[in-house]
Amino acid sequence: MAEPEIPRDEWEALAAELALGLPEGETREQALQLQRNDPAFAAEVVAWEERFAPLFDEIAPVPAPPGHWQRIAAALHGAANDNDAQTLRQRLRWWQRGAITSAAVAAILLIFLTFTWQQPNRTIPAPRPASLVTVAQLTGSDNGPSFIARINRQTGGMVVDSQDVPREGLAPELWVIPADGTPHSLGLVARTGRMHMHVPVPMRAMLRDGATLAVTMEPAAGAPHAAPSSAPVASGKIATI
Amino acid sequence: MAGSSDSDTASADRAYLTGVLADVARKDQEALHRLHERTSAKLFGICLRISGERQAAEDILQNVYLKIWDRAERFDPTRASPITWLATIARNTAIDWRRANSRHLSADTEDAATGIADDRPAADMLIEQSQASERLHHCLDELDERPRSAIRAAFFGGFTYAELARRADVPLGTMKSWMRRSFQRLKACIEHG
Repeated sequence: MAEPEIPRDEWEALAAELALGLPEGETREQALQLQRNDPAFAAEVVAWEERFAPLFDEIAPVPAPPGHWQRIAAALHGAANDNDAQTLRQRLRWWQRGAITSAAVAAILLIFLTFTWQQPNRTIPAPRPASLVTVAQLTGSDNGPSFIARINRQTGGMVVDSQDVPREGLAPELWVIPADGTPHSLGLVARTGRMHMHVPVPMRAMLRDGATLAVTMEPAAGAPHAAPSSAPVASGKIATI
Repeated sequence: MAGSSDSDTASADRAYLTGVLADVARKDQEALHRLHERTSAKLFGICLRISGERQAAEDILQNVYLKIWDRAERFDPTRASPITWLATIARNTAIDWRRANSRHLSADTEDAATGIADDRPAADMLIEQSQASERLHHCLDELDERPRSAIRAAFFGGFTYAELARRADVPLGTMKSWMRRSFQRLKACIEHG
């Protein structure tokens, strides 16, 4: 793949930056890809993790809550007996279990949207927010890919913020899954950062409360695809604000 | 030599954890249980510090052990020390959570996560022999105050370059050049004293 080359003399600094988690966006993607593909660079990252590691000793241990192991054992037990999709669901639960957190995120989103929702049709007087703007928080399992989608059903404008998508060659593709369970592609989204999209009129009606948005990793070529080829890496329900 | 008992403890921990991780890599659930008993307080402390929320930290910690279960076979004891490897997974998972969920939640969380004051190192499960720790702290002290505190904020708070620049009220480019210069000095200092 024709990646912009990161000059070798920047590896050292980049390795330290990655160990600390400083880079974002494209730089982070490139650094993670380099880490996966180049053992020498990966070793530099580990070396920096080791250099910073004594700082961990400044964090006092705190006993894990009683019953914590049982939760893990239950999750593993579930994972061992289920197929991949169910494993994913099992893993997803940990993100979703923090109901307070989710509620807080939703509340913050609401406030955020109220103040920052940008649309070209600013002149339209006081739209009825309850019927216009839908939001979904999509969360995933292992590397914690997550997405926040904000959709204006009236204009079809959609903004998707992506975080921590696995840096595989495959690209994240967004699907809406309405009540009949058939996924419909909304197109590719960014691996990191924000993407502005437009939802065609026929699909806007699918973006209703309770419909699921999901992201699967797909070949970039040929998108939007007719159907997903793999299990979702993240999913979440649509809620209207 | 100073800190020989810490050193003995650290190397005993290292040998023990390396063995347990090898068992976890073979999908031995009892080994993961032993690992949890031995390391969960250490890792929970990290999750709690970075997330700043107890409920979240419990969920993060669960995910950390599921990741360890999945990734144990990738642990290479010739390259990384086991406790650093485990602590790094905990830190990265907590940072992922923070970036996905809590960035907008509250300033209190941010303060909790980035409290700059040193906690006293706890006696058990020390990552490093005391010499390595002393060397890092000595070398951090050699840096200018602002990049030093940016490094600490990044480590304990999971802040990106852009966030560090905003917090320090300097241009992004300034923050990057501070940090890159500091990394060079830090490495030279750690390796050559």
